[in-house]
Amino acid sequence: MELIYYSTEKNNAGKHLNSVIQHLSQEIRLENFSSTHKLSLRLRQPVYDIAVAVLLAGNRKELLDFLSIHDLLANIPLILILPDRENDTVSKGHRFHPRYLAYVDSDFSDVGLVLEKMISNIRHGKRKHYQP
Amino acid sequence: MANVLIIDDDKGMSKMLFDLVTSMKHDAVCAFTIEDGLREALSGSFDVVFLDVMLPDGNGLKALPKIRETRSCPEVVIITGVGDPDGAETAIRNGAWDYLQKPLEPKKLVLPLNRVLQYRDDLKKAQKPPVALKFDGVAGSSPRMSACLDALAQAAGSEANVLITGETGSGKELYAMTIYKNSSRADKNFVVVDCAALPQTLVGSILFGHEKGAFTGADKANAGLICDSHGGTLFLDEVGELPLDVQKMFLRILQERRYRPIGSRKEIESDFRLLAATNRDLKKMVRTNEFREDLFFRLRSLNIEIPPLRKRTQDIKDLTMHYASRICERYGTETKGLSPDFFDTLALYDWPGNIRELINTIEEVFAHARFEPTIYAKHLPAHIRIHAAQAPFEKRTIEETPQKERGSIRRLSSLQEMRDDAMAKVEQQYLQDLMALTKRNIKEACQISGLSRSRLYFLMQKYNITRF
Repeated sequence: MELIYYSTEKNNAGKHLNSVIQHLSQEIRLENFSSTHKLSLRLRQPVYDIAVAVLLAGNRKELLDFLSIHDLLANIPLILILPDRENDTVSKGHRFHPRYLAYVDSDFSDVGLVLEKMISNIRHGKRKHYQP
Repeated sequence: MANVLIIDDDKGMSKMLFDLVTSMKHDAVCAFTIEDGLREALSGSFDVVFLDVMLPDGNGLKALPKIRETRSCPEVVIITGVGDPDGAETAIRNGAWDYLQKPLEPKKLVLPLNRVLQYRDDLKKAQKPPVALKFDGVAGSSPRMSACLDALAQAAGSEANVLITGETGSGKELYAMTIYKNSSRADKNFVVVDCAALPQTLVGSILFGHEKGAFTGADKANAGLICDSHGGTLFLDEVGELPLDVQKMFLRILQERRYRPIGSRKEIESDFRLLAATNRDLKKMVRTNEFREDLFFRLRSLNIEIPPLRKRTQDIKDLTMHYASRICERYGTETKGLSPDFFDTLALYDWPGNIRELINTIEEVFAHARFEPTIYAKHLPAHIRIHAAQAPFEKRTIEETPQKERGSIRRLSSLQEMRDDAMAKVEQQYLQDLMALTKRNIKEACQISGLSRSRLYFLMQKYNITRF
């Protein structure tokens, strides 16, 4: 079972997210990406072992980059972090049909709680994660 | 002019119905057993079937689903001399139009017959707009899927709340998206609320939004998902996981179309189209006070029940080809050939994870056979191939097993399989003894066994134990 996440550590948000996700390293295998190109290469390989993906769009350009590959994210439970709360940005965010939407100006404690719940649901059979 | 099939071993009743139907200038055919009746239903094209319950070769109620699944999907009117509430419930749940108790006078049949024929006539005349609906990923041509696709189209064309039910991995979210993409709100937001993923302490603020400072940690205002879905569609996935207090608040929004974010003094209007999905039994949750009955009724103005994959195995080929093509496109590889034995093996597996498991399996197979032009059954995971190999032996009963083999281990099954087999035998024997003791009195059987009526009927059907 794997968690993939995208963040660049160029800003505080990326560092915050990394520290939240690293807390889960005992429970799930983590794979970090900091370029959408490498992320898209990973998504073009088997994804059945990916339990959840977390993408942090630090700015609108990154969000548009994610949109260009959003078909590859179709069957993966996704937590998406948006750069701002503008209507247009939020609308773009919902095009991913994320399990949870957060914003870059938060401390991501909510993201941590949601991730823990999602992983717990899989472990306790509430959400089946079918690996052949 | 309609075509009517009469399945009743009572020749007097059959003749009465035959004469009545033909006097109304319709065609009628009689059959006196279930086997003959099914043969007629499969070969003909009937609008209405009158179906007796107690027939020489079995219980007519068991044949009801098969009759409904024939090409013309006829309406079925149950006629029985031994009516009871449980039989009536079973009949209606399996799609019967009506449940009538003998003795029947011809004049009392005219009105129900006219009603059902009028309904059939209206169906034929109904002008369905030739809309090319977008069904990306919703594949299949089995009768069960045809019914689902009709329900999808109906839901897409209306603003009614829809409750989508089905097992895990059966495609509930895909159905919700399909309804949304084909609705008048397709150009607005489709907002997903994963009720199972949200911690109970956060559900309310995530849904309804909150003001800055409304609670500890709320250092910024948040509009909430209901606000995000204004003008669009709100999809509550795993709606059975909503806490009761949030259910109450949500019900109010559905009733009044207004809500107040947490910590706010102002009410906000809300206009969203609601879709919900669950793999849980909400009716049971209502009985155990885990889900509000008033919210349950609100949610399911339209109800779409997605059949599990094992009950529509004829769709597996279409689904496999669809997802195989998408996977090849994603990997950037040439389209692969899929051998007949590959499809045969897929069709023999139970698919407890339904379509999600099928997609993951195809992906795994294609990953391992990346450079091979054709996929065979041998590329499938071992547990699927084992299941297919064991399938021909599953119907063998212990009585058919030669004495000398009973003590020997011909093959070693998994411990879980052994436990399941043993439990099944115990359950079956118990039910047979129970029916014999109570002389098939369902009420008494429920009292003795402690089973609910629905659970008892489920087990009787599972082990092929009839009431008659």
